[in-house]
Amino acid sequence: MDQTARIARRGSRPEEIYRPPANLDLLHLPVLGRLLRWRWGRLVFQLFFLAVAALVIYDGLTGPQLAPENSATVLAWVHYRGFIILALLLAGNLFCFGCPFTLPRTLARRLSLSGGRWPRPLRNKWVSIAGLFLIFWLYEWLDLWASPWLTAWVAIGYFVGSFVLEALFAESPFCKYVCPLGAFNFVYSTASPLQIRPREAGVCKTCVGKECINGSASVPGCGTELFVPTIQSNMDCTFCLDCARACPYDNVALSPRAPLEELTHDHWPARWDLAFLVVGLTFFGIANAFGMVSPVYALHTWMAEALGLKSDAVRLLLIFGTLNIAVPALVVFGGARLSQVLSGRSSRPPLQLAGRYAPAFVPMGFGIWLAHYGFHFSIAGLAIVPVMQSFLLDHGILWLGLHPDWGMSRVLPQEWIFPLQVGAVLAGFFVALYVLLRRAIRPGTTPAEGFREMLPWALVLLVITIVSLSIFNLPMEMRGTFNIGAR
Amino acid sequence: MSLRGDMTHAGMAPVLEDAEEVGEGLYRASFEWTMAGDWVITVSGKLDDGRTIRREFQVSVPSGGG
Repeated sequence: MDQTARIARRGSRPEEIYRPPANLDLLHLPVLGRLLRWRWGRLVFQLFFLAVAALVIYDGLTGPQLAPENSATVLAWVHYRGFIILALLLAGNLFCFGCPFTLPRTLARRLSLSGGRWPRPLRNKWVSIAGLFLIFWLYEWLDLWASPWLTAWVAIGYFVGSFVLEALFAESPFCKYVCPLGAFNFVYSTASPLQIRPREAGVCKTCVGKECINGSASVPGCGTELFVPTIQSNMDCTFCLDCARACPYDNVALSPRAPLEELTHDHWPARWDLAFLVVGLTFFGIANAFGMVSPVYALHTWMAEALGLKSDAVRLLLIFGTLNIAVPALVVFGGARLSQVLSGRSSRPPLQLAGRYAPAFVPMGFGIWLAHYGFHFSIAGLAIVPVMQSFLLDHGILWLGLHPDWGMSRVLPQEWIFPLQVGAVLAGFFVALYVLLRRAIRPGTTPAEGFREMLPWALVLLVITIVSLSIFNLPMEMRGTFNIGAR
Repeated sequence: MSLRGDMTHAGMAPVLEDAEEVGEGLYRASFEWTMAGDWVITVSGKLDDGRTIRREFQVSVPSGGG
């Protein structure tokens, strides 16, 4: 038994526990660490995002209904998306950390009627996948990007959904099983550099209360029911840091980890829902970018004329159903089966193979989303300045001047953007290949067997890369939907 | 008389131009479509009697200019 455990068992006060020097721990940095560990530390960030959400709702419902002039559409579709992808790349799941939608959680729990558990058949990612499909379909069908009013209602819907589920169930099913934003953040946070882990494993072994998951008298435990000493993944971790605040031994760290540590280790769960979510999100990325280039309008016109599909909603349902459901399903199930056939004597069940190789789609998808969301942020990151100037002027506030500077928009020069997009996609592809190789070449398998096993996945990644580069190479349009079906 | 072109998608700087009167009731302005896609053009101006006018119309600009 180490010294930490001995002292912990004697019930010493937390500050007396011996602790060996830890790796860099953000929770113990001088100012930031104290703020993050402070009982109300998360609330500070949540209140900031709550103010942003309140602005989105207020301006969306009452402000100018031209999307580029309204903070609801600019903040939601330019800045939020740019922020999350950069935050995930550079740090971790910072949006879930500051998520304002879970703020009414305490009130909801007090109102809790049944306090029941989320139904067992739904304890997976299928509901999140359905939510992602729904939100992307609605985004295109209702032109959410062009409607401040509808954008505000999306935000309201998130608040209501989160509140109702928190009130009806004892845990946080909204975050873990339902929220499409959370599902996106969970998946790509598996490539992020920061992770929650125990500072000293021995302390957790002797801990009786397990406050990190059970909660303490003043701080709730992990909402998504992760147990700190067993955390090997950022999946389902909202970075809320309740575990750190609840731990009586101050034994929870937020530390950097080796690049791609999570994607290359063997602990990735073999689950169809997870494999489909990761692979599916890559195709969501392609479909979302495809929705902004001219061939999609030609496809719409063809479907309207040749198939008689006059309804935009139905055409989009078919397009997205094919690109976002059917093709990923084919890749996951077909890829696993092909891997099994090709791997020969070392063959494993398809589920294990899907779980083994799906993580390679994380960097691939990340690269595509970075290229797309980075594009919007690059050309419009500063557009919020004149929008806020205009908003304040509309309300008689002159703090930001008398004349909105509508010329402000770009963050990066136009000529940089396409090379950066190509770089993001290619980086995603090569990192994905590296992840594939690391997962294929392992003890008990010859390199040849491993290579054959990963071959179908590598070919799919190659095709995805070529298709993505082709899409980004086309002139991106800020939609061309006025004439669809009428050409 | 002035023109303001906004894309329907959030996050594009508007194109702002003044129109030059070239005849009675006729105005001309050069206007650069900075990206293909859906545009909302707002024409606004002040009449001789002091009234202001404002009209909006939608234009879909195909790829390759137009």
